Amino acid sequence: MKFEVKDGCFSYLKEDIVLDHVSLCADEGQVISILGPNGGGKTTLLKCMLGFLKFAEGAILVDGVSEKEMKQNEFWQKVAYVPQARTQTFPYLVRETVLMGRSPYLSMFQMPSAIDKEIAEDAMKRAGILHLAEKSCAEISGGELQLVLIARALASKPEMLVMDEPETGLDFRNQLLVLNMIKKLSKEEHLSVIFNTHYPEHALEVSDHTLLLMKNGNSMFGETKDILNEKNMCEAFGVNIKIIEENIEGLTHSTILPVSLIEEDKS
Amino acid sequence: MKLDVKFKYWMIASTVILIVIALFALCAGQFQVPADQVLSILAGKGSTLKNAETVIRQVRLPRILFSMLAGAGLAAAGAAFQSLFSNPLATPDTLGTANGASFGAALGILLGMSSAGIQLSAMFFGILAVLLVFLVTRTAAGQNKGSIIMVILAGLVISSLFSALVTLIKYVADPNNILPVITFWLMGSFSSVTFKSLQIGAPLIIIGVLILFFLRYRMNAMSLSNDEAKSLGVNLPLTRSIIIISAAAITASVVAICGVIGWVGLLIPHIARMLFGNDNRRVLPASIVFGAEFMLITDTIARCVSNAEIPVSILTAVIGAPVFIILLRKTGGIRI
Repeated sequence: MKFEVKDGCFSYLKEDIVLDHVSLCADEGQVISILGPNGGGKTTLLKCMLGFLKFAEGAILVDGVSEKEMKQNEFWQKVAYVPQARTQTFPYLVRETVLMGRSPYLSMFQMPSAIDKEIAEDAMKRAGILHLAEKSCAEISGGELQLVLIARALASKPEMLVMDEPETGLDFRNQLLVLNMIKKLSKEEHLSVIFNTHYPEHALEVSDHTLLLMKNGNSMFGETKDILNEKNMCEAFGVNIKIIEENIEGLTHSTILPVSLIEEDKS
Repeated sequence: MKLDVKFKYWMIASTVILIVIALFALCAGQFQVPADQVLSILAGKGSTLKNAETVIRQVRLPRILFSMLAGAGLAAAGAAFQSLFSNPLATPDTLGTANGASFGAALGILLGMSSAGIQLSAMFFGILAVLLVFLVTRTAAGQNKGSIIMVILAGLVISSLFSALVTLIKYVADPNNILPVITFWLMGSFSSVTFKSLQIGAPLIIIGVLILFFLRYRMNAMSLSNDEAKSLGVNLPLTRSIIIISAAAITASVVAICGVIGWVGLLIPHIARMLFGNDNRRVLPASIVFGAEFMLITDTIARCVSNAEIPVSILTAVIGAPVFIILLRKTGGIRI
């Protein structure tokens, strides 16, 4: 599947532009990361891409077809949303939560069938959480809950995942678990993944392309290693940044060191 | 899967128990009728006891049927609202339906309407209240448009408006003969249920409960955040409206026939949650059956323990609170 955002513009208040002609494109099996400072519009962009908010201008194309011309269910059978892991008001069992991923295939009064349950079970296997199936979502860790939400998204058999800061608030091990999951889904199962993140390292680690959002709604999109250089990140985050590369067992890993604040021009 | 098996056995057992209690309730009362006579009357063969047939058919049967319907309806509406508002404290009156219907009934009593007139007036204002809530919600601008918080706030406003109007009517009502009628009516009682009122109240309750029952799986997704529910393919405005209107129709009908009955809509869904977890495929059917049982038991006690009827709202709390506390201690609350 090919997912495109073309010249998306959005502002909550007229004078305060959040997104100004933002464009990005995710091809089959590609991982796209979205980075930017707090208040830079990462979450807003995600909401616009999923239709929770409407772009003032611009278009969203799914395989060349405008999202506006697609039926709701049709869209959600292709694109799945993985929200940030939050506790549920009424905690459901893990298997019940994952089964909800089948909802886009059910009509309003329909119950999930045995086949839906099998698909949900398969999704739990793929996310490596089958052993948690009978546990309550209130009893598992934040990292596990994130994997449950990924499994729920997989249960709708999507061609693309849109994830909202999937590794935020997780410890190192769980961060790597989630990142490896993203790699596996894109490289082995050819899903496209778009994710928001606060960690440039993670973008460098897993993503093919990156959208860097700047202040005033400006943005740049391109290959991750071209976009996430010291100069661009200094500009986007207002911080002097040093990228340190380390070769471990034949693979290059990058770590990013925020060195000092760049004094803002107050005028 | 253990939970699903447990649920199945509980449902079968509870339905059998419900029927047994209903038969017992037909026998019980100031005028006791033996079980064999009751069965013979129900089978249409009449009874050897004088007046037994009238008591059973005209008085007890409609009352028992309606108390079961009311309990099932209020519990289902409560369960639905809890999921819809993702709030464990939501009850069927959250959007002001009960206060709207109370106002309608109080107005009917004040104007000296017939009992059918009072009932229809109560239903009209109960449903009007929820339509007003929709109207207020629609006027919200910007980001809050269609948010569930706006719906709840609008419900609060409409609810207190009608509550004030009820007070106004009580204030102007004649304290010697009209005011006591209104006050007693507001406490809730099944004593005046006849076949006629059953005909007025039952259809909307049955339709509402059926709609909520068939929507039960959608309620799971509705209880998540708005964005999540949308991403699961739920048509939020439509589903939300259907649930609200169904619950309002149920609540308005119950209040119209037997006054305000608290607790059932809050308590029963939570008992179902403690036993079977939060999946509405289990919570909703369980609430319907438990609600019917609870209301039937409470009403039977209300009319049997003393010569004078005890207002049923008092009993729902007096019986409901200890049951709830015992369950809370046994299950440790909603964990599953």
